[in-house]
Amino acid sequence: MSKAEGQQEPEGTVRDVLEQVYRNHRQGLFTLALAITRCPHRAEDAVQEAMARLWQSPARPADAVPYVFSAVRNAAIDQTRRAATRRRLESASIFNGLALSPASLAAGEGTSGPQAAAITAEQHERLRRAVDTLPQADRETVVMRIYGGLTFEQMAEALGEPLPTVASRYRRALETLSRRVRPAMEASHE
Amino acid sequence: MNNPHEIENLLRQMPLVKPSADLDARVADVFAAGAAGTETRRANTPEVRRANIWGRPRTRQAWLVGAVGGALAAAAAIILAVGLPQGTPTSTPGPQPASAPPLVANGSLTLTGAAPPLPVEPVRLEQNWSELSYEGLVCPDPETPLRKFRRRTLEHVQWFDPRRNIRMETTIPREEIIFVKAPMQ
Repeated sequence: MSKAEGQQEPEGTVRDVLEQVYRNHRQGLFTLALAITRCPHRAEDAVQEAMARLWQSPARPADAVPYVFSAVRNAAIDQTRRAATRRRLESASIFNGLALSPASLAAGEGTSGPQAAAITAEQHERLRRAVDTLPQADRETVVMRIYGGLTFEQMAEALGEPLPTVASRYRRALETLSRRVRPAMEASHE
Repeated sequence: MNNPHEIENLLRQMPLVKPSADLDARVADVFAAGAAGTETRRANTPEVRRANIWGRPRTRQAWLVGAVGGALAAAAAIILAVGLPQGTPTSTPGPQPASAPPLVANGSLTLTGAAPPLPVEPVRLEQNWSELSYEGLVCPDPETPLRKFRRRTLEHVQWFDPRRNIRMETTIPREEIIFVKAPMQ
């Protein structure tokens, strides 16, 4: 869990609060937008657009983190709709290809040997595919929790849904991912 | 593999796509523009700014350089055509007027003329592209074969306000299909 989890942003000016949330959750916000838009350029546009909207909004919530995540999510959904009308939907992953390069794999770098490295790469590839093919709502909960470091309460607030719904969706998403990655995981334990 | 922590840990090890450094600058722009009480420079036009049709590469900067270069060249041509006195030779330097102050006097540089002021009025640049392609004969009715043409046009307008540093771009693509009656032999 990231260090940002459960933290509430301190009181301050709008600019201070937004800047601090952006600084602490930059990667999580971008990854959430990317998980929705499937396009890095649109994801960045969504983050920027959300910040601009928040800046102009008169609302001042007690906890700014779910508020900012919610704004980024809405902006990303808007971006996707615009792309859909232009029939320019993309399918970029939130993950950055293989964790280990082919050369590292051959050398067994970072692991106990080339075989273990290959299994790790296989795990990562399976997991990447599994996350990419999750239903969008499930993918959003995984991203918010794992890469945004949000609590279930914050996730429920950001998604505008009851906490038990969000928690069970997250649990179901993890089960789906486990099922899809299991063969590679079992191979790594042998 | 029933332990959810195991898959969570694996997810955390995955290398994520990182946002570009440009994002920080863009968000900083939002805050700066908001603090100044003006509109954001780019947030209101992300869609049109990113417009990229027909698979053309995103060459916004290259296009901008070209457009600005073209505008400067046009301005220079107008100045040369209108501003220069008739009959003045431009290839050989004439004698300096006696009253002209020296460029360097007492070791310090003296400016003899004011630099041209930067443009303060909004600038509008417009470019249009058009492409016509023949796509063969179609025969909706056996007795009246038609030639099918596809015309694609692209209207690109850029607007820039140097005073407020606001830039806006719109790209409007259009596509038409034209049928022309083919002569029967």
